[in-house]
Amino acid sequence: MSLTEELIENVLSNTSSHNELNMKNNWKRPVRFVPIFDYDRCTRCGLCAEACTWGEIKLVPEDIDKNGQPVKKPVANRFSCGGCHYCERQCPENAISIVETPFVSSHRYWKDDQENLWRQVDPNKTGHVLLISNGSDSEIISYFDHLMFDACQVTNPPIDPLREPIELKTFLGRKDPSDELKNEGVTPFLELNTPIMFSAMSFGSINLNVQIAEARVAEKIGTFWNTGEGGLHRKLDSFRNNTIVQVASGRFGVNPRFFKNCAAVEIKIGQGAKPGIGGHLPGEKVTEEISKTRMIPKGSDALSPAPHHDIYSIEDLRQLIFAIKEATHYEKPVSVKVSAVHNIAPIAAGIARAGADIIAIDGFRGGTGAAPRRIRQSMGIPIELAISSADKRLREEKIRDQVSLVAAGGIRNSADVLKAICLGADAVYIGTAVLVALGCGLCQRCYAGKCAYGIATNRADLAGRVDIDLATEALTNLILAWSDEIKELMGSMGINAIGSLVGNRDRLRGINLTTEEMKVLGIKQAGL
Amino acid sequence: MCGIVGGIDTNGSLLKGSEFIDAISVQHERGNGLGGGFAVYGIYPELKDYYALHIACDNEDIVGKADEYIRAHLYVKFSEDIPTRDVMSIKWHPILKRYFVLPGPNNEDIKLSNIDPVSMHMEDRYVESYMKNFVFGFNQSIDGGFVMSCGKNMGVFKGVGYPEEIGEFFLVDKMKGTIWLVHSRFPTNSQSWWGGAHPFSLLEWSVVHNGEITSYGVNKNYLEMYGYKCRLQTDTEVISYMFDFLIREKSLSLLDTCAVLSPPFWEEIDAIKDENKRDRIKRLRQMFPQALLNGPFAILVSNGKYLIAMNDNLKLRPLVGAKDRGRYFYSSEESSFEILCPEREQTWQLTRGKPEIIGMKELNYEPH
Repeated sequence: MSLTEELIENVLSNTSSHNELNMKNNWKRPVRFVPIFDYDRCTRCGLCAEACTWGEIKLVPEDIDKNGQPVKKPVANRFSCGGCHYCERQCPENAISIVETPFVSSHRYWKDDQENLWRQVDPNKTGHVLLISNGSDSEIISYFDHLMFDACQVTNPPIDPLREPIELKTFLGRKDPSDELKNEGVTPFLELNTPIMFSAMSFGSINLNVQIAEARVAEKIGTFWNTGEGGLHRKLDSFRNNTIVQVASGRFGVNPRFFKNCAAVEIKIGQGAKPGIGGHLPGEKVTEEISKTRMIPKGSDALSPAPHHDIYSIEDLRQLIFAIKEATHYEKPVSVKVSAVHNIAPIAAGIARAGADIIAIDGFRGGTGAAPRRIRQSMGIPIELAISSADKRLREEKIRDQVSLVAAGGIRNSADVLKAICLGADAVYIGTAVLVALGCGLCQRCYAGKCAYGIATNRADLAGRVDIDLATEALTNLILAWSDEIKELMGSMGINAIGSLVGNRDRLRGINLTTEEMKVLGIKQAGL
Repeated sequence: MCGIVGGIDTNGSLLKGSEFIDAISVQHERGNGLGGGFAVYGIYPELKDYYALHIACDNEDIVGKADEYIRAHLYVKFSEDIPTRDVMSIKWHPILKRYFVLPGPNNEDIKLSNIDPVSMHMEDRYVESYMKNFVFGFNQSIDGGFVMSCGKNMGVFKGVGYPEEIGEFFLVDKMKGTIWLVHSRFPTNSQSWWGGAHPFSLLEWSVVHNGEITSYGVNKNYLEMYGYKCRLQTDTEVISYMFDFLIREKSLSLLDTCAVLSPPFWEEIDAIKDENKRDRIKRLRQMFPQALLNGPFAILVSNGKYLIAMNDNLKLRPLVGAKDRGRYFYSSEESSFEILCPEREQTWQLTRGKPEIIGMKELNYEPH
């Protein structure tokens, strides 16, 4: 028997052991995706197996090369592919296709829940709350897709952005220095060259390389990046003029250096993906650097409580806002980030009156490193409705000038940015778009810490997969491309200053929306 | 497309209405007969301390309601029908009245105590916001009626028709004034009705406008937040309110107000050498982004003391100026100057975004 035959025999014997029926298999997770290999193209280089961090690809010996080394071919395990497409993209021969293999259920209503329930009750594992990452992929209507812009025809000329300036400069902060702040001189504000900022993503949920790229781009373009709740790494101190630091319920890394090296401070009350839920970075992910940045012992769990334990109502929030203002000598605007929830309008008004300079509202599509699936899929409201209601309420209460509004959660492209602005936002935060710009396949498993792209992981071997220079270039392209697209849209609308679109619902029309929905959005039916 | 004409004599002499009718009639092509109007200052010298309230009501019933409303809120010194003459082409017109009023109800106490309400001490700011709220209240409460103008010693005469017809209808040819604003309308976005014709006026501010305000939604929201009510179905309305708001409520100077409404581009601001000036304009743009008027426009604005001419900062609408022995004229078309000032010393195109402010003494502001 030749060596080859022996190998093949081995493989065959492994797969044809004595099979028995076993109830344990009842909870086997259905395979959602599977890599399919084109063995004619495949050179057996084995890079795909190295690329896959999820253990989906194994290399099976099939031959011996002329040097006597085994030749191995990649084979899918068919149990752990999440469809992140990393192997597919890395394969030098383009020999891999990721194929979706939907779970075939005989019951349409139960389909998704059968899968989830099995995962949840599997006695082979501990029963658990289902975890998920990224923003909600729920099939609930996306209002952005039902809004159309107005364009200029005949009575007013459109403007050509290549010939005439179209200005995106945006200021965030109080525009109407009222009573109590009047004595403090010029109220602090943020100056943005484009109304797009990087949303809060902590060091821990993403790795430092990504944060460095964000900070560089924010500095280069003239916008802001947000540290998230994980503190500010020392390496990023020099980007202080373009950094928003976040104070969340865990108060990680909140120290004088942190307040000194920022342009604004954001108090995180809630996050769109998980309103009313705290965070939990498991101890094994708390590396040396993270421990230093967060100011917690290495290897200990980083727990963010659901509420801030010193904020049980609006007056407490006011105290924290002013404590931060005192600590920063009234030189830095204070932002308050909340999830978009049902009564967002009065909440926003309360925050404005509590003294915040900026309110960031995060819609239910907002991303997360980890959230309970049930929360992500069924809590909160779309940002389109929330921002519109908040803007309207602040105007009714005549305090819209006291505060700037930032929309976050589910902004996928430049048209979404401009629609959010027309519905009342001064600027937007983008988070998921940043990840996608770096290659992310949105497999929604950031919580696992095994991100094949190296984005949402701090495992040293994986984090290196993010090349800071390339990431910087991609994010620069992202912001510049979107800004140019926004200018094109504005030019068609005959508007050359972005401020003229903030809350300009007149230039939006709705398609396929109910009267009530259009009332909340403050827009008219298309054709009217 | 619309046509606008305006004029002021810096020597303080009066300009003839007949000339302005002729000056706008040569721009016939720029209108379509769906709106024309005149704002004229200095026409009520004998009653110059009273607010001259010009109102239009659809029928006698509404006149009754309007009268009641006015007398409930204002002290009426004197009222009458606005004199008109029949014009063939004007088939229908609202009932037009003018009231000379002061704030405060028309109560008997004032009359009985023989106090002259003019000399009663009341802070100007308070009086003016009372009058402003009265106008918004009137336009909201009196369905079928609206206030054409309410400034002191000035009046707006406007309606549906070509401006030369409207001029004849209101006997404008017999009027003389210190400052004139004239408009011929070619409506595009809103229906034609008497309230939709230009000039638009609030207290002493009047505006004639050729163009379209693409930022209308934002400007309207912004003003409404501060208690203004945009009810006249036309974008131009916000311009007069914006002047009133920025100058009266926000205490900005006229020059700063113009810089807010049609500011230089950021590149131009960054290039300003004078640091104080640069910071001031930057601050103005930062504070009032929602007051900025976007879209193509040529506007003439007056408050009775100044005539302000301004283009959008891309100059997407025509506006020319002329100077003739202390008299200044502005127009959409140079042809109007052949009537107003054939002997003029100078004719020029207005620079984009750069307001020209002509007062009784020459004043020019160069934000760029």
